[in-house]
Amino acid sequence: MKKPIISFLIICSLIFTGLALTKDSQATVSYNYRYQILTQGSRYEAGRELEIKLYINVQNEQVQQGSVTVNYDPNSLKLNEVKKWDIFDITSDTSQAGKITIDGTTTLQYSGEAPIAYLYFTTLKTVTDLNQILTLNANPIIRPTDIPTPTPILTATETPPEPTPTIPQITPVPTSTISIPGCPNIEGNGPLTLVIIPDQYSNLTEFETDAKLAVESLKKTNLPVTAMSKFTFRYSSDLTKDYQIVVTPQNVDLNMTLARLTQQNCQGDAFLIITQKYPDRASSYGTGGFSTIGGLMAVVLKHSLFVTPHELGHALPGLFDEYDFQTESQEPANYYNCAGQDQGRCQEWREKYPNDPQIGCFPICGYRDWFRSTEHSTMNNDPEYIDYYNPPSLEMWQAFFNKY
Amino acid sequence: MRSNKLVGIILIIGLIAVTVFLFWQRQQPKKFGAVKVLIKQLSENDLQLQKITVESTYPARSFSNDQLTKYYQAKVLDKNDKVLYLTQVPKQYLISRFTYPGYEVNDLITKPNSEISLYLPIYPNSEKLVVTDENENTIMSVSLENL
Repeated sequence: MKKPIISFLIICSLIFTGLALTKDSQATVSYNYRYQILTQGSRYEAGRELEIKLYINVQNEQVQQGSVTVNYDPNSLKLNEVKKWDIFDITSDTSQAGKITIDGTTTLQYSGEAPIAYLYFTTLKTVTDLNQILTLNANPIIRPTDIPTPTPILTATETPPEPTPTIPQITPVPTSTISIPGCPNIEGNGPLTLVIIPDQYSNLTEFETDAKLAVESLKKTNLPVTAMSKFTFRYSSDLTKDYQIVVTPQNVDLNMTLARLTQQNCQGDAFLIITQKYPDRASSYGTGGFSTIGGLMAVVLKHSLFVTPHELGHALPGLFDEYDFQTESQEPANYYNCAGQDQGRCQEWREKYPNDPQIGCFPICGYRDWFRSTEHSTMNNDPEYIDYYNPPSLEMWQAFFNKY
Repeated sequence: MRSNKLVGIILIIGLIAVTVFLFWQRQQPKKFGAVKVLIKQLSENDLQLQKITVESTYPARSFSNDQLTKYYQAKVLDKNDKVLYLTQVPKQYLISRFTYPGYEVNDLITKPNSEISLYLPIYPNSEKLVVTDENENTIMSVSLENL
């Protein structure tokens, strides 16, 4: 009589244990947020419009969700609009005066700092210290933990299921028919092969996801579809090599000979290394990536995958930086996206693009005595405009692609 | 009688076609396999051959960059000094880094291309590798005959 009861109890406990193990493990987390006032000045008179950019900051983790509450003094500020930025889709609750709840989601897995939304206010009285009347509270969100789910027992005829990484949605495009062992194709079937190389990765699925994100970031720019069709994107699946990436305040370096060998083994024309060596912005001294100008090699740090278009702009067509080196040049401006001291190229830009309202002759193009064609662009260092190659940059891309 | 003539003409045309094809094939590089040439740049226009091997890898496509002012030209020549392959090699690299606003921004870093690795296509009729400077002055010549 006792035996069936014991058996029943054992079966019940096994079922409960099984149910507990198969249930998704979840954890509650919250991320860091900050805001930046884009409107000039520090004292704002009544009736002034304020533009505020809200950032989410996630280190050592990839995020697809964020939630923040903005508390403000409704007697000092009137909310006009909450606007999304590029990466996150947002829903905002503004039903309560003085409180905005913003929930953001993205199809990309984002790491590092990214704008999540813009806020637009009008001041109702003079504001001298915005920190006193506008504060942020991070809201908890639920995400799956890293606790591994139990491995199912397999019969001899079954094969283990492939891991299912979260990969950004990619529009189907033709993929190269060339198949090279150790060098899977990502997409594209064009004559110019970019090989994406892992550095300091131990998980191939994670690297594959990052390589696809890097390709996606280039596809999100205003490079024409015809230009993108010149590419074949391929990656090296060899995780064993150390490319000796070095980033210090004064220097950056890598083992170019070894990287070139990997590129050749994958039948590539150029390479992009993605490295995990410096996990966050602080450890890389604010560096997101580096590249040789016109030298067909680029390095991007994992925490800043979105700078890929900037670095490839250097490495492939040889575009010059448009942000401020805080120094004067020692040489003539040999790069078409920069005009020299005589501003002669500015006139050429105006004549070529008479109907483009963004075209001008803005001081600073890397060097302080050079000039750039647009205020913002991919080759400047504002992450917000990383998707926009200005017309002279697009011309240089075109000239580069004409070689292939 | 007439058919014999026709057969003769077809044979001659076939022979010519085969000869032309064989000649053309001799000019073509192999698709896989490369001559890897490792050169040390001690200083500008001072090159030292380190190693030359045949590798199981893909050859590099010709490279040229109009913006380069300082470069070598590596040429693979046949016995009649006909250029089979030509590529530019930068003497130095200009390195730029993306720095976030708020961090100290550095000027460009110039680094000499101290270790040059060439992956030359394998041609059946290649005779030598010649490296010149920008003005076509020969800096180095390496025989490719015995490879």
